[in-house]
Amino acid sequence: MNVLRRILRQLPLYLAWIVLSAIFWSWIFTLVTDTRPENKVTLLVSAPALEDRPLAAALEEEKPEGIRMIKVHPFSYAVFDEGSFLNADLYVVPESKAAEFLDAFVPVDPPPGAAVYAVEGVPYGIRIYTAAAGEGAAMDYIQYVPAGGIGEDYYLFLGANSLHAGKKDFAALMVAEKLLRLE
Amino acid sequence: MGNIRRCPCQGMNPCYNRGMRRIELYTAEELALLRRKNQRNTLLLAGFCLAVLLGCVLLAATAGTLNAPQREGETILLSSAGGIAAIAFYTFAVSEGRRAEEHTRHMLEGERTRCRGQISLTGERVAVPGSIRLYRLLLEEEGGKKRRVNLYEKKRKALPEETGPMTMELVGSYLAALEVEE
Repeated sequence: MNVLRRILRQLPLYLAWIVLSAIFWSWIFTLVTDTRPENKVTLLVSAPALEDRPLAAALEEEKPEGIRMIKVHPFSYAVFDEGSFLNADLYVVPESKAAEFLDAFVPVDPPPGAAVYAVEGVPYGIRIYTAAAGEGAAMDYIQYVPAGGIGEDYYLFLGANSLHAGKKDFAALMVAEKLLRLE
Repeated sequence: MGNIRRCPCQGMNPCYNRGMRRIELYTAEELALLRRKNQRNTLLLAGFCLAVLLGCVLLAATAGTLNAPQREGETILLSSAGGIAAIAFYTFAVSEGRRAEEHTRHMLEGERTRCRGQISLTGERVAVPGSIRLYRLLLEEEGGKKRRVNLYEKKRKALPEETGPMTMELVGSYLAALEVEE
């Protein structure tokens, strides 16, 4: 009884330890699982559902030189942080939303024969999912069609602030090519 | 063992009287044992904390893209459980052991006074903050004077069954030794 009473008296200490522990190790894991923008490629996806970690792991199988990690996030990841949104390297966006975010993208030089999203004749995005055919890239990871909803075309865009689209290197373009080849 | 002097209330010769059984509550061997035990417990605690830390570092080091959330959860769980266990072990073993050692050293090195009378347990138990837990005894001296003395709770079982008059040695208000007539 005496021992139980002493344990109960220490309960606030135990709870404080748990909280400190969680905060400390979460911080450590943020350091371990993230890196500077110079060493990573970030892909933001606006889709009904997304397997972000498996997709990131699949893209990391062929990491460009100098890139330590590839991060994949849904658009909701950057909802409170405009910087996170604007500094991403690649975007997968449905056609209906492309115009809304156009300022965040840069024109691309598409491969011959590729279907593109163009504004005034300038290609910005490369089609990654065709609704009419129900076919696209990375369909094991990205659910393009909402449940019970109507599908639309999706496009892959290059970030205007990306360090890896020619500013520092071309890693974003290499990851984009890998993404377009994924099933 | 400290000076033995007469208590103002009566005069009793030191205990080499025949027919007296001496119960020494504190010994140098006991102090040495406590010291060794405390050193061992401290090392054990340090080793345990190091093992938990290494385990957490290992889990963090093996975190990858796919398993990072799982590893993070495991690390937090290990750190939390290990920390709680370490705190509990420190409280109930290390800290208690150090207090016992400190008290035993104080009792062995302190100046002793002798009194004769009868002692009885009051049933009162007190925890001294930052120190040991003790029983309060009522000492009725042969002159009729009554006062409270303290008994380290771990020495409770060393008290003799006899209830008659006995000679006591005290360090401050703590009972250090007893002489019981056989």
